[in-house]
Amino acid sequence: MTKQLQLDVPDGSPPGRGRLRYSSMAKTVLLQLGALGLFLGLWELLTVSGVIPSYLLPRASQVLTALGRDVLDILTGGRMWVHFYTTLIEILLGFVFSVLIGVAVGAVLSEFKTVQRATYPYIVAANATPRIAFAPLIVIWFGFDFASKIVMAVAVAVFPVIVNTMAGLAATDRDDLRLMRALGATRSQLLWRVRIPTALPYMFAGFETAMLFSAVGAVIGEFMAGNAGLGYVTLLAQELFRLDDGFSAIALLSVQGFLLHRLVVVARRRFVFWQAESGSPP
Amino acid sequence: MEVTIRDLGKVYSSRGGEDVVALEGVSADIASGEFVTLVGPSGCGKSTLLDILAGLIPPTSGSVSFDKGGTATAGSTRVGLVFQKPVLLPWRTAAENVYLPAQLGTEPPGRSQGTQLSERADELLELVGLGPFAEKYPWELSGGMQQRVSIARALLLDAEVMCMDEPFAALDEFTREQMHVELLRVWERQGFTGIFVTHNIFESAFLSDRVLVMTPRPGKVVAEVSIDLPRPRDKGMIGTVGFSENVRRIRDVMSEHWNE
Repeated sequence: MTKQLQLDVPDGSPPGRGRLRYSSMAKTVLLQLGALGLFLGLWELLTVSGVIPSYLLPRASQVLTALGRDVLDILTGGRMWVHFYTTLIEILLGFVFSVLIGVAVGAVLSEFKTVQRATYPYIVAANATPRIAFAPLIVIWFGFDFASKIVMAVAVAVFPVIVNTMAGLAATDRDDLRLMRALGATRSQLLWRVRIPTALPYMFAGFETAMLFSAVGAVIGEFMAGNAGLGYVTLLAQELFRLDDGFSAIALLSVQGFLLHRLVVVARRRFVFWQAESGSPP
Repeated sequence: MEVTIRDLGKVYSSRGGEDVVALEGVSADIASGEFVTLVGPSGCGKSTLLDILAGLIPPTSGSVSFDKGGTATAGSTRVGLVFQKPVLLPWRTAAENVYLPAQLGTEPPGRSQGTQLSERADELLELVGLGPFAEKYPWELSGGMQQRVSIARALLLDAEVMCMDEPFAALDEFTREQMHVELLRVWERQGFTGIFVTHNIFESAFLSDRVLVMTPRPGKVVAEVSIDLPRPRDKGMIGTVGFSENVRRIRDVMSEHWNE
């Protein structure tokens, strides 16, 4: 095995770990680009040959052209930039409010058991309700602008934060509790020094989900009403039968969602630096 | 510090209505600076006894007093505790874990004492042989090293009594033997009263001045064996006739009082 890997380093430099990892990473990226190329090629073939009619699916090359044009438009601050920026702000604000509200509600529910007993079934029920059913009401209450999109994003994204905050605050190890009791810790010392750090990995798992859900909520919000945002662009593309524009907007949403999710992952690695190493859940 | 245990009893009432007698009529006098082990099979109440001594749970009857004075309460600064697991917080470095006890309680220190605390933690880590590892996180340390950190933590508030609940049970044989020698070295230097729970007869013979033998159902102290090995002790003693003789005596007492 080692010998085979050394063949990847023909320049005679020592096969250090970093170097091997670098070479295997480059291979993986090549493999993934290859898979994408294959997928796009097949797509192009099926559409150009007419197997899939063009009114159902635009050619891959058309989508790439539209995407290139949109990216350029975003970079030069054109109309597309407004759509991109609008959705970005909606997702981010939806996320921030979900985190603030979710952590507060989760903490209150886990600290005050009576409140939890009284309200938990309704929270579960609210989570089980398809939030999109509230769309008409949300438009009536919050209008056609920003606010209604953010409310929809929060409605979708707040629950994973609540649930994970509760789970995290309840996850304190029995031995940790015993130690803290033996050391005479007060309730607030136990909370700040042990229970909250213990809850952080759980909470960040909730934040990651919340970021993805917030994007879902924002796009639903743009479908409900309004005249800006990438979700709105896909809707418009459908009405105008510009499927290539629609696909381009979807690709942009995908990239946006990926980057925002990465942001939370990077923050988690920074704030919960012990998680990967100590193997603590989840 | 002396520990006086008088007629201690602990009854757990179970849901089925049947009470479980964990401890019954346990009395013992432990001299200041003495090292005593509590030995017995599982379920003999030795951990319960230790929890009561540490003030973690209240006894159903009887009393524990220190220095013929007040009773230790939970959070008593006089009693250091070492558990079977190291119980270190993974987001704190070794040094930060060691000075955790000073940050708890109703009168935690102000920020100005921060440097003092970390200096004291460094000293204690030095004492348990972990000087260069003060800034490492628990997950960067081996099991034996983690347990040393927890011993240093128990020493932070100048504990005069150290309650140790099978602290080396999870370690491999070699590390355990090394930890025995280290623990005795620390004990001789600090001069605390050591109360050590174990089910390992060799361990109890090697460490203690006196072994209190316990049997289960109900948990009680049935006999005590004085260990007549000279101090300081070292690994070389383990193979000697004198050591085997002491182990045999503990065994004999065990089988005399407990046949199951």
